[in-house]
Amino acid sequence: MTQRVQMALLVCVASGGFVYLLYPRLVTSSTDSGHWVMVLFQGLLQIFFMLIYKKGLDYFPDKDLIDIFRQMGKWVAFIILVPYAFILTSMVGFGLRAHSEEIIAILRMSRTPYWAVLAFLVFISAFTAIKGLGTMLRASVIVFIITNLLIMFNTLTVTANFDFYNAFPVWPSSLQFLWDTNFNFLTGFSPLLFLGFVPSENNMKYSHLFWVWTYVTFIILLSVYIPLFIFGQETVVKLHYLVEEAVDTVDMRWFIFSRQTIFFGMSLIAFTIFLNALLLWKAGQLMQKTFNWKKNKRSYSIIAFSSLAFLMGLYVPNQYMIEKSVELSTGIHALLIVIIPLIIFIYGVINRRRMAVYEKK
Amino acid sequence: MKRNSRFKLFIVLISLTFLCGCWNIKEINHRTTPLYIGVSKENDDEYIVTMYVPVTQSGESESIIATKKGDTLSNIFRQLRTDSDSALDYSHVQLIVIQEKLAENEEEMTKLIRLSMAVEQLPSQALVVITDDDIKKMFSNIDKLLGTHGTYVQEFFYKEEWAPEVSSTHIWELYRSLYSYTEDINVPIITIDKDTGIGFKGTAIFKKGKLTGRVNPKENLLLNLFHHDNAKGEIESLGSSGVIVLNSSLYMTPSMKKNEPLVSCDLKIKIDVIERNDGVTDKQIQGEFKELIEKQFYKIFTQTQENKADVFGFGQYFRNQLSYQELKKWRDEYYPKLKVNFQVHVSMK
Amino acid sequence: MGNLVQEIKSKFANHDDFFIHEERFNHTAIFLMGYKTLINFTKSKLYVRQMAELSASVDELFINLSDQLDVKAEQLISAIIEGKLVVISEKNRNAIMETVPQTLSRSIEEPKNENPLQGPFDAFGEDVDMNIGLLRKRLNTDRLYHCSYQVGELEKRRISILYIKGKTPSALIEKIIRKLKQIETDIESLEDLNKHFGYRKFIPVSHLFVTEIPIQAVQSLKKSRVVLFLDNYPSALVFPHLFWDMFVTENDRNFPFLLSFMVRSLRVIGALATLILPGLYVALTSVNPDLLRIDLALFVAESREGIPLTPLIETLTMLVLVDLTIEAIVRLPKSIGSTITMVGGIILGQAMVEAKLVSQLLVIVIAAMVIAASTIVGVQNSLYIRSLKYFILFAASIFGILGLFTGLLFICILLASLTTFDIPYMAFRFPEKGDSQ
Repeated sequence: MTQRVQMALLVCVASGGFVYLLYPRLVTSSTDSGHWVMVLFQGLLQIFFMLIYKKGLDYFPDKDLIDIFRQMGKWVAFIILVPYAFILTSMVGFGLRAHSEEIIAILRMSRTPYWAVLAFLVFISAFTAIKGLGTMLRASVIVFIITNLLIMFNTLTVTANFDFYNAFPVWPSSLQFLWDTNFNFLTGFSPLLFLGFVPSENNMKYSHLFWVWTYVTFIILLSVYIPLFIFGQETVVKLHYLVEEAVDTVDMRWFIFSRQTIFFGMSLIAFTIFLNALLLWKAGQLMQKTFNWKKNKRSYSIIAFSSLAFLMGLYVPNQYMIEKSVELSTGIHALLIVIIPLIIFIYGVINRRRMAVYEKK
Repeated sequence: MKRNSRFKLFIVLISLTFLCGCWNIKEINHRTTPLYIGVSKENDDEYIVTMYVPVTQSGESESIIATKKGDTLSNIFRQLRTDSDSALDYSHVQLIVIQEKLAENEEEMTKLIRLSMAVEQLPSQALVVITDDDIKKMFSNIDKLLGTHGTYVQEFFYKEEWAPEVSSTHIWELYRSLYSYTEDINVPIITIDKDTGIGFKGTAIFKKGKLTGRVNPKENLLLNLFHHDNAKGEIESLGSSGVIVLNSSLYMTPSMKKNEPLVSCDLKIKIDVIERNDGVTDKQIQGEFKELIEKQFYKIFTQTQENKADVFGFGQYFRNQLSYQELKKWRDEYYPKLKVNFQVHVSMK
Repeated sequence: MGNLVQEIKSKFANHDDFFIHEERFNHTAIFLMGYKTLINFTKSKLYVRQMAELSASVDELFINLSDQLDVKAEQLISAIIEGKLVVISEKNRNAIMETVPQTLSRSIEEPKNENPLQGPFDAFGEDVDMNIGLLRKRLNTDRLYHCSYQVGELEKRRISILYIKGKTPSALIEKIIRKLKQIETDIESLEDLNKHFGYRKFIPVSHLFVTEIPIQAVQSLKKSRVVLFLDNYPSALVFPHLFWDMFVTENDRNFPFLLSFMVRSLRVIGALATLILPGLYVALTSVNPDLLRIDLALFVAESREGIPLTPLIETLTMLVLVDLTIEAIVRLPKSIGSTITMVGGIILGQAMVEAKLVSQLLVIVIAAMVIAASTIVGVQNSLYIRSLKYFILFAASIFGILGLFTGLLFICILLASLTTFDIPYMAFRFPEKGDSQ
């Protein structure tokens, strides 16, 4: 198992955490037919930025994102990367809060307070982040296998309740959703910027990127279409946790558990922990490298960020605010997904030109 | 210093064990888990909720049938929670019995379905049935005949080819039918049976929470066929003979001409004759059987078409031919104009 | 008597097992000296006499006896301590002689801690040379390199390193040798040695995998790992210790692929069951009973009816009790051990159920868990898996299924974070090919 493959798997696992959170709800609320077109456009948008980003990073084979920004200038790095770390933290905080509410709903732990679940998840994520990228990469292989087995099991059992006609009409009535703000939020649900945190020469190749993209798009389609096949668009918009409700319809008379939502819950937990560990690690890495701290200071910054994220998650008052704040934080993240690849690409091109001119002289 | 930190860690770990007592964790034997819930309405404003709760005592199985009256359902549920001998946990509810009087009221029924989907604890795969009989009597009859038997209801409704006419409806299906533009649903009707506990008396057709008609078990089999079930195992007695269905399959080809939907259905049935009068030929039996089923179909179809209740789910087949906006008008504009060309092809073993 | 003899004699005045024997040869007195406890004196004397008959002069005798002639007094003393025979003549000629030692180590026996099924039955013993001999016998190649080091402060212990040149990365060997050379304290136990490869305070996973079966060590060598021997320790220490050692023994390869696959997957299931079962019981009885199917739920509720202990306390009691039983069986002589098994397992379990202190279901769960835990390869591995289950148990008692699964993930992450000289513990096999010769 080479490091590149492990990285691909880690990105896949982290994407799962993004996808199941609000993705199906946003998609089904912004279009009433032809959901796959929206997913596809969204995927194309992502692969476009991914390619630009990768291309830009390839101009600096032995440097990562932070090194490149530092090369541009200390202040540029400071202005872009420090807010980025805080955006990541807010994503961890609000995302984990939303996830812990969902996990409580899925596992029917209505008497467990959300702060306990939140604290537990934050603790495990921070622990993983402190242990470093190598740990995450190695563990992601096992987690990828486990979660995919669970998802496969869920999908297979859920097919018993499928009525494929529910997903019709196949074609969208209009492409209006392309100008919807929700559509732009969707771009933020992607751990794409992680690419920049490992120097390009050790990073995934284009083929790996392609496989990751295919996997993620497939997972998105699953998460959108499982509820659609079961409930149909009319009912889906009335539900809150779409995939969970869809999975809950399965009657498992032959199994020891009455609800197979627990398997969905398990895969969600694994996705969440790895996603947030990755985000926290990124935040820690950003702070450490931007300020040129010593290695051991990274764990302190991760602890600080995770406590901050915990407080953020803790003080969101209600369900509506949770959703709004998650949308807001991913919205800003989406903005960064647009900005950072473009900056890196343009800087890469300029740098290449400059080098060429320099060599000519 | 080092020892001190280790000691602190130890304290934290020990206190973790006490944390387990937090947020009132209730052990499995300290929970009251109702299996069946009955909802009915007396007079005009009073709801009655009846619950069948198995009591686990080693050796013998007992049960409690609790009844509460109140003006709103949530009030009753709260009352039940207060008066229950231990924590009330709805997560194992198998069956929700709704009295017919209540079910006939569209508004009440819709409210009830929404409520049962919204209650987080209530499993959405619980079954919903309708009855004319007294619910309390029904529960005590089940209890008397079968004792505490966790899976009785499940086994009753999932007999598959042992009784293909029995159908079941889950809460989530009912909930879906409240919103669906193109499909309506039928809910089983049960009665008290002195010998077996409960008996299956056909289904009631609901159009968005409104009861629009009833079908008997034989006709219900036809409805099941349209929901991808197989009629295998069904025994049909014709005037001159008795046949058993060995296999069946249904093919549908929907088409749309000038806003006039048309479906041609081909039902292929393979039968075996189990008893026959002298001198009856195979051909006669085939003809008789074909006629019987076609007559049954058109009877239900015209009835449902009048009520604009698409219980066969024909609308589902037109979802791809109409736009989403047009689908909204399916029940009112397209369905009454729907023509069905239903043909049965009978073959013998 | 020469002053050298006097010097040595005074040095060993307080050692009662030290002997000086005087022989006469060609009218010269020669002194044989050494420890009675380490040297087979009778045979050694006989050997010297036979040599004397063949030799013409004292000088020739000394040449015949040994290569190490006329060394310094300190060397003589350390040679005596190491269990060699020192011969000194009147004229202060001396020689250090390898002689017949007392048999202080056992012969090659069957493995005591492992149980190879239909495999070779010899096991490593306390004698390092014998152990290395066992390896060389199976791996007769000139690429099997061997170097020994003496480490320690009070006593010198011999550590032998074996590896296959060209397979094991030389960087790794250099690192190990550098670490070994840095050792200044005494190595009394495996843990002392283990600490020098990187200290793991709260993690029960060792850097060294202990095996007493030669083929296991041979296969590890072939898979480019390093084998260490500590003298007087009856096992090979395979370095680095990898996760899959827990599930894979070399002996499995003697079975057809499908069978060995089955056996190995059984071990994986065993490890998982050990970790999960107690936690699952607590989670399903106290936090998430609604996840059970109805008839199972009724059954579990019935079995727990009237039991005063909460599931966590109940499970903890049983777990500790079972672990105590296992420990007791190890402590006791074999003849009494079986009695304890009976008292602990059958009578106590039965009595607890009858007294309604714990539920019958729990007894079944615990029994299944104990059996599952025993499938894991290696005593240390089994112990550490057994210790990790307590963490999952506590997590499950607080958060139910969520705690159970997260606990499992946590353990997975913890194990993935372990590295030995940058070799991850979770590596499937030893990754790098060594530099070619």
